[in-house]
Amino acid sequence: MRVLCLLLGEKPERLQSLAESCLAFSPQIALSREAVFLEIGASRSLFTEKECIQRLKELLKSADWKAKMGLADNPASALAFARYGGASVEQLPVEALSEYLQPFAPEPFAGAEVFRKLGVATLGDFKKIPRVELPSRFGKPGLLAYERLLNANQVAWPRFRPEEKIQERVDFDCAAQIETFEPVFFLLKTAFQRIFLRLYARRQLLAAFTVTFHLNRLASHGTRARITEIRLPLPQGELKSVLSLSDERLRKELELRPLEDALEGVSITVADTAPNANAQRDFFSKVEEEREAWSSLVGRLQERLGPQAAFLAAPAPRLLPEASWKKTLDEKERGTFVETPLRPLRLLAPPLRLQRSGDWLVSADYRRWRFTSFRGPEKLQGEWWLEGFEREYFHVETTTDALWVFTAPVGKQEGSPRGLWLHGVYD
Amino acid sequence: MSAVLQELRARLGALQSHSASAAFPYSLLPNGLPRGALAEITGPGKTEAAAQLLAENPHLRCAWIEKRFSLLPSALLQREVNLQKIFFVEAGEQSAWAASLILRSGIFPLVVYSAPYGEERELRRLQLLSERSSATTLLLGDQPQTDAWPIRLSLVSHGRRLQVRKGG
Repeated sequence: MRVLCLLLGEKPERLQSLAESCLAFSPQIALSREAVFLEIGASRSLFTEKECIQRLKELLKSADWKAKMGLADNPASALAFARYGGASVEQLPVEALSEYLQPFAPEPFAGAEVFRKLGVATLGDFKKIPRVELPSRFGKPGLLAYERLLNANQVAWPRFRPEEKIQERVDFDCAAQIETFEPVFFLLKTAFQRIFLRLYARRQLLAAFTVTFHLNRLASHGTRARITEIRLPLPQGELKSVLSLSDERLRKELELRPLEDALEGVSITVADTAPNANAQRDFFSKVEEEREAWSSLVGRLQERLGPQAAFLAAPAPRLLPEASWKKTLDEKERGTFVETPLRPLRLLAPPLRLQRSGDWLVSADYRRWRFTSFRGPEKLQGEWWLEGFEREYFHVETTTDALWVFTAPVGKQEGSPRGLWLHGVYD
Repeated sequence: MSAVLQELRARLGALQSHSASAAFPYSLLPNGLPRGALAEITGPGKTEAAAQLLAENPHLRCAWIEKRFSLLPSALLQREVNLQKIFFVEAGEQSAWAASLILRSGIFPLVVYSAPYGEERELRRLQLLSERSSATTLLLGDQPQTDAWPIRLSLVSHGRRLQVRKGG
């Protein structure tokens, strides 16, 4: 057994997040009031102890967490090394016996002062005391401490269960008036970093989240928080893309509606996730990278241009030319293609009304085409269950362009005169 | 061990050769359409010419940016274009921004840009991004941009053939 202990110096409420992020390194995690324990002995085939420590240091740095580390063969020694430093158990101060008595819930060791008065300053000194003398000199606690010190690896690990809700809050040192978005951006970055570490450990992607701006709690007005919900077009697993998307959305929102008061902090709550089946990257394939880049691209385009502005197209089984395709974002959707004569690549929406004047076709906006020949008609009608339509299409060659025009009744009444419309251009 | 190394080298070589081909095959141009450059097609038939390029390169992923979307995707399908590989963007006034973002993403080796262009700074930016991502940006316009030096290849469409006006 090799146990790595991360002792958090400040804000123990972050322990849950840290422990959850550590699931990426080992499934055997334990949590105490002030420390996270990882059993990394069974993960040696994945990474060495040195690599694991290095990666954990990077994790702590990226999430802006500060923790002391200790590595040993049992949880108690790992915690004691993290707290007191040192390289061997014998050098640890006698106060470290509290870690050995209850490694996952240590209490200050009451007998430490007595030991020191008797000249027992370190655990090395404590070990030198003959075992038979312990009950008579130090009573039951002394013997128990001795037993725990000798058999420190025989300890039951409490079960760690990650919280259902994923939420991260980052605060300013003191509430600040927000004039530019940059300070908010840095808070968001730290919060997102922690969110993604937790999601990565759970093998999940982010699909939707809420951003809460926590306003000055001493404010006279009623508003204490402003909540913005963001749903990503495609689930994402990378900080960069989500951060740029959130930046765009929130920057715009704060410009339009500035915060009513000073900002204390920002919290992000995960509202929806999707499974991340490809969390392990394939060195020879760029598929995962491209999928991430694709999700990010679609998200940013839709955020700026609107939800319908970026799409893939699939054929739809309808005769009406403008309805013969549909928007999608599913690459695998093939749709149903209806065989028809060759259509023009450019379609006017809505069709442009034309008037015929001799050899000329004249549009309502005074554009003119002199036609030389035409083919047709191709009769299209149907969809009575919707609005219904009845059109006769002609392929018209003009001196400049090849046009696709149709005639159709101008009104809905029976026998109403037929009009002429330009519907497409063979460009 | 050496067998493993050889296999690794072969796989890396395959990846490198795949990314290093200099042009997209295109029957209307004897040398194909160059990669990592800005090219324009103007005149009637430009959209058909772009569709033909896509039909001849069915595995090519393409982003098609329009100022106002007027394409008929089912008509592209009739011209044997692989519609699943085409990503459409209706970008309005932000077409240049959309093109920059798409080129930066590095996903698409071909970007078709059907929106007004001509401002030199904008073209220069597209040219640099195209070079960096080894992608070709194909501009579709009504009139050729005579003074636009970032455009490496200028083609004029005449029905079913292309005339090289500049570059090539």
